Amino acid sequence: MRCLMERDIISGFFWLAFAVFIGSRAVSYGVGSFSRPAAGSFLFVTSILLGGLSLLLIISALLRKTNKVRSSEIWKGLDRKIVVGVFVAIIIYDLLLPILGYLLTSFSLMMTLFCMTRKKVLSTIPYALLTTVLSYLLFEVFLGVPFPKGLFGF
Amino acid sequence: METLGHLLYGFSVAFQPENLLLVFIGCLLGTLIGVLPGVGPVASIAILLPLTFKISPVGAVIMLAGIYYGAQYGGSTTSVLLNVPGELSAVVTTFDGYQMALKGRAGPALGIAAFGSFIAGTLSVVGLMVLAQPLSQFALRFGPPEYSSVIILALTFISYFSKRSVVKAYMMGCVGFILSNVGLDPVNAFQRLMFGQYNLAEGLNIAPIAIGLFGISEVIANLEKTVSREIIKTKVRNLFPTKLDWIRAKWAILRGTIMGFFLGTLPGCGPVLTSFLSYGVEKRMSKTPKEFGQGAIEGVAGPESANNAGATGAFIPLLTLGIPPSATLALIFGALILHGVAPGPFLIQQHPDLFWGVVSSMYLGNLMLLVLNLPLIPLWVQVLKVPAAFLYPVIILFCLVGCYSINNNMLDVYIMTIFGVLGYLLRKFEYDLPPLVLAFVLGGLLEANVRQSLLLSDGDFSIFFSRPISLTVFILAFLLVVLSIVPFFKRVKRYGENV
Repeated sequence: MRCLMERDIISGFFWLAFAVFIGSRAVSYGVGSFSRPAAGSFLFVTSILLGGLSLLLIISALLRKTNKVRSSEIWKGLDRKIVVGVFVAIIIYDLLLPILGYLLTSFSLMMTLFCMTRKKVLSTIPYALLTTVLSYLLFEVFLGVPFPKGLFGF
Repeated sequence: METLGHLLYGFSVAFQPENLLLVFIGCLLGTLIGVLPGVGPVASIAILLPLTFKISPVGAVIMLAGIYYGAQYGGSTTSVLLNVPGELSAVVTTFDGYQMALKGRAGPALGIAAFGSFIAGTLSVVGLMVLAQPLSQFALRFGPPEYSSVIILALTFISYFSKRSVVKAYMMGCVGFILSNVGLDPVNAFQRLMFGQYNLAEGLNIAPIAIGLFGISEVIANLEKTVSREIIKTKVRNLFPTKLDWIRAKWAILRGTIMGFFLGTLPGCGPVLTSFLSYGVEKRMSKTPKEFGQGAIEGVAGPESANNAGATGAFIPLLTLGIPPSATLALIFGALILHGVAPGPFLIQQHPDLFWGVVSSMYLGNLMLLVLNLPLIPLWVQVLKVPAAFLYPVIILFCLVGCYSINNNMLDVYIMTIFGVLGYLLRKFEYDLPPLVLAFVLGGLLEANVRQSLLLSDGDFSIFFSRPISLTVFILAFLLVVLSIVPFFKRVKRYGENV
């Protein structure tokens, strides 16, 4: 059971499944012939290569006796909360940007990120404000990037 | 004489106020990136890529190139003062540079690193100038089979020199190829891997992928661990190396330059590998090899020269063949494509302003870097004191905003986020990212050339082996694959016996 948790086995199976999926898509696009390669030909060959390499990785990991790295060891000694927190903050930012507009969403994101890394809420406000305003000036005013205005019009 | 005329024309382009400012900005940002541990040139160029869309193609490449070779200069500062390399290519500099600093010789260590980088950078630009034209003339003989073989060789090289597992590197290459297939088929406009998203008709953009893989994932990988930055308390003085230092370092600089330049032209053999090789050569050639690791100045001069020469040499395959030899150069390749400029053998003829402007700007850039590096070292030391807790959130915002500004749509931001998560996981599972980016950039070109070759030969694969150039290149690629895979199988067999 321990062996199943090995890092290379997990990633190997993931890429094998990905290769099978891509291979099936490639067949649906049409593979053609050597003289007339169709839209899926290149994808098909690449998926076979990827699948083969994934199998090689899995087999080598299964045969490995030493240097096994279990997936749980990857996160050892690392601040997992901050990793998950930052990714969640980015995903929420992606979703809220078109709804709330640039200034409000970016200020909230900077507040969240600064709080996560600095842990002092009050002292992060001026930094978050400054970063948001400066980025707005650089991109919207100086470079002419039309940011989403959102519900409040800014 | 003709080359001199071209060079003067290049200087007339590089000396235009806008371009001069961009060389300066590129070198300054490059040095800053090199100084700051954790943010590499690939991530930085990826983040700044969208900003270059508002400037001319010449200006864009001048600035991005400045960041690339500037980062090689800046990396030595942290290696010497912190024992933390600002750049991977400056890892070797920690071996002797930090030891020199501990002995109160931080000044000469930083000085020889800057002078060595300047000499190597300048000589390499001369090499680039001399070799680029004949190489691009030679590349004009290339047809689809030759291009196919060269692209496959480039990808084999980058996988062969992979830091981790070769099998994983080849897998990343395959993933890059698959991603390059997203969008309409160039021959019959068939929709591939678009999943109903018509915004993907022209394919995935390099910028969101690179920003996600290198920008976001690198920042998060840095945020999860707290690295203490303890700057040694020594006064950085006497930056000019002594006469004895020069005597000891001069051949190391020259050897590092030559080795770095030629190895830098090979895909995957970038500044990191060249600096390590240079260190090995210097140690082997030294009359006092025991001094290496204890503060030998040759151990700083050689690798620092090699990594700068390697950074310049890497532009040769990009500007003459249109084949980027590393992930950083792949981004510059992407910038050129986004600006409507096709890198390749016709680049010098069709865009002389770009080629000669960039070459000339490198002379200016190296001079600027020497000026920036020596007197501003106290400033760079202060920069190191900027807390990561402030720096990394700002970089994340720049990644998001920069990505949005490419096409002013949210799809690029979503794609960047997906690749940010993927990049982070790939790092954790020890996959190398450069083969993915390189294969993504070259995938379209490879597919087009392979399909054209097969159409030309009516499906006969011997077209790839009946032409001398493609045959030679394929044999080289095959040998590399064998050389990289055989040790893997040997290991599997050995473990198998144990099992």
